[in-house]
Amino acid sequence: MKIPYNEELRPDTGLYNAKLGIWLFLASEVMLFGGLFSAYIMLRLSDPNWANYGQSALNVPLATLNTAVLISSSVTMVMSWVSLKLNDLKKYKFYMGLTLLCSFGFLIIKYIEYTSKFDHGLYPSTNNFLAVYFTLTGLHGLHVIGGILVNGYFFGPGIKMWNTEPERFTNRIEVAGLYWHFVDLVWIFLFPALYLL
Amino acid sequence: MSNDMNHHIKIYRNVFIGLLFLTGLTVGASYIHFDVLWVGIALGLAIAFVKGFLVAANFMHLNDEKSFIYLTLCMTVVFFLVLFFMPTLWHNDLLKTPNHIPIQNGEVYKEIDYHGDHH
Amino acid sequence: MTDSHHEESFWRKYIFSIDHKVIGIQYGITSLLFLLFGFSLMLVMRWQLAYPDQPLPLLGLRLSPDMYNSFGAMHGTIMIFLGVVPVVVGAFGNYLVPLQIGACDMAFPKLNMASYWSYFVGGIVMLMGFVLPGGAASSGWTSYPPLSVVATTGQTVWLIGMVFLITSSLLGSMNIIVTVVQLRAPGLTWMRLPFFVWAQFVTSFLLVLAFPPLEAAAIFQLMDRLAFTSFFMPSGLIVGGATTAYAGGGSPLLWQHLFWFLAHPEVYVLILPALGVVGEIISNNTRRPLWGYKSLVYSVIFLGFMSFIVWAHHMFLTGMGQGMSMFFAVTTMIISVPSVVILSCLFISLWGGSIRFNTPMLFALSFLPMFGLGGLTGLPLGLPLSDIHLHDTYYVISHFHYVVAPGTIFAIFAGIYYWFPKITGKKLNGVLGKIHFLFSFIFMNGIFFPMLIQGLAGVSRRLADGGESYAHAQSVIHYNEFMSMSAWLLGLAQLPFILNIILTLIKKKDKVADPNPWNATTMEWACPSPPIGHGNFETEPVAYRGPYEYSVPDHKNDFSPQFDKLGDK
Repeated sequence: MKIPYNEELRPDTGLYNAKLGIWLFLASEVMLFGGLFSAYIMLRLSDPNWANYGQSALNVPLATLNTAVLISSSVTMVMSWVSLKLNDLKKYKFYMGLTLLCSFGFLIIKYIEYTSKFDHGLYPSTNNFLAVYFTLTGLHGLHVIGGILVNGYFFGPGIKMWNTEPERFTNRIEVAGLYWHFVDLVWIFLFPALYLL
Repeated sequence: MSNDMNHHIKIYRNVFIGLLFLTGLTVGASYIHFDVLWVGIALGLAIAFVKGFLVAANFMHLNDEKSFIYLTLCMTVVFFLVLFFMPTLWHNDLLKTPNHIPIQNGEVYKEIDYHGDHH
Repeated sequence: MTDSHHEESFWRKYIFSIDHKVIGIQYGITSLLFLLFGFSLMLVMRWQLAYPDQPLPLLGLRLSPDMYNSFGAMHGTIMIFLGVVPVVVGAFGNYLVPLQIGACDMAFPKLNMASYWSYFVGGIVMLMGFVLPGGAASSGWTSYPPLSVVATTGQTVWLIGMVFLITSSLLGSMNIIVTVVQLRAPGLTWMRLPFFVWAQFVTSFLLVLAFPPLEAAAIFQLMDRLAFTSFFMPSGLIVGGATTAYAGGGSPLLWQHLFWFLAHPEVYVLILPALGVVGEIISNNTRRPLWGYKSLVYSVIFLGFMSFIVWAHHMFLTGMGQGMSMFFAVTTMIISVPSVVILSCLFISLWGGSIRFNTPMLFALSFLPMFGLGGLTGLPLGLPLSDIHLHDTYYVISHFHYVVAPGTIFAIFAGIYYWFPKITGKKLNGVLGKIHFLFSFIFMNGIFFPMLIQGLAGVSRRLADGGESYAHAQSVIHYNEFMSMSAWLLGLAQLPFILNIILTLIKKKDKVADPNPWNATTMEWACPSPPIGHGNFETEPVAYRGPYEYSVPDHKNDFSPQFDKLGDK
């Protein structure tokens, strides 16, 4: 029993199953972060004391670096997919490895940020700005970890599929890439919302 | 096929440079003090939307997809905007009772006489 | 279409199966057991309401107000999230959608299995609350802060359980959408889909888009409870005579917005699949096509869309300004239009029909006026002026129970009687079925109709003494005993149903069961009964015509199946 349209595109929709599946998942994630942003806006607007909560304690240069790191990981991710399309497994491993390195880099910088807050006695319970900051970036961080697990699998044990079903493997990397680009997209909104505005 | 991919690689490189530039732009813009607060916020959000659009359209190949995905996404975006803007409408007194509470300001509610006599 | 490779182990075949039929049955059994459990909680509560502060018979213990609240919160949570939604989407959706579109399985079978086990784990986690010190969650199924934030550990467990359940829902609904879009059989265009499939399709979109804000809210509430953040905790809060250690600055209303953003579409998730089931059964048992197929489809799509912008009608009494109240009142009135269109189409479908009064049809027929009553009682709730009097009273309880209990649950019963022969190859007994129907119908009304009267008198909901201590409740308090009696008798009325299932299952099966015992037209009746494991159909089905070609003029037979090349057999 073979489920149709796992690799080949269905003519009227132009999609293979996993691509539609991941877009639906991403739609739900948009709504998740929408709920989080909505809460941030509501809390910020109704609190006249917001400016005193310590947004200035955030390290903008470090976060800008983090933004550049994540954007780079997005580029390397799409390049790893392109490498597979061009049948170049070595290049794929190179770019996927770079993606993983950038992702770890992002997490390390985040870790530095968090621990410096804790060292100054700044916790989520201290005030609402910090609560929002820790919760939103924390959830985003969990999504980054999820991405690392998936990409790590495709860099390591999962790479075997290239030998048996190259087209299916390429599709999986495309789908993983869509997820990863979304994680980058969320950060593109989180960064100005939390650090700059 | 190879040419097609090379064309794509060029696009990815250009988008990458564009994203880095816009990141710098948004950080720089945050240091400008606007007379009206919401202009600064609108500018920050606008730049974020442009960056997001570049990622979605190019890295996520939305430019190349057929309509079904667009429909799903349009619907999602509509509801996202509802969620997003609801608090601002709520806050601006359009959607809730005003903060002026008479009893705290020394006024007293007029006693409503239901039965024509006082209890 | 089928393959018969290696023999599967017991675990692979029945426990960790990736076959949508096995998963559908797993969902069905688990959720029906949860429904029974949630119903039993209410039966205990109804003792307290009928005979306040008297000890329970047999057990001898008294239901304290805290326990009453706990039972109430868990009753709501279990019935909605562990009972009805898993039955209508997880069981009916999983089992029937692939069959009705002629597919061999869902698009993502392994994800399907993951979604069931996530549901199962979530359910167990939720129930764990009962054994914790401090008891299960007791802040209502709505978990409003600040009460829920300062409540006992059971609430944390409720939140964690919800995260599992939401995950399960997301995975399951994604699966259904991709399956319907990508795996329809050749010839099965969108406007040839059975109404049941359309209903499941729209329901899945509601689940995908509406659940995540509740997940966000649950995370916030967990942060409030575990990390002492103040997302929902206002400044200067005093609990039990002492100030709290929260930084403050939060908003309890924020929770309400995020919660109801999900919970309103959630109630449409409860009803849409039921409408789909009723539609299928009515068409089959009137031997006529459904009237107004296009109206039904467009209404269900419009309803799904509108359901996202009515949520604050649950919040009319939170101090909303006029502008916002008016907006939500208007959208709420508008959303009643597609519901009425759907109900009208179903009613009109009966006109001129050759009605067969079998058990599924009896449940489906009674669904119509019961859902109608439920819908009508919603109108004064959707208008802010009347809602001021009726909000949080028994009127609300009666309204939503009418839609879900003699509404959706009757549709579930109808569906079980209707599709039982497809799943097992044997029809349920008709006499037991009709007894089940008659007494369920009588006692459902016995419970929920007096609630309308109590609600109009102003009796609040969630009162452990049932209104005893309130002067305005005294004139209507005597209904409590009557309603409790009806509830216990409703419980007894389910015995013929349970007996029926057991007796039918142990009955010896005919050699080759009839694949189409109801003479129906949709594609699930093309495969054997039960369908072939891992494949469903003997040969790949093709759709040659619409889904409800009954009583076609000039045809010899009164039905022309969708999957049959020669229309007039």
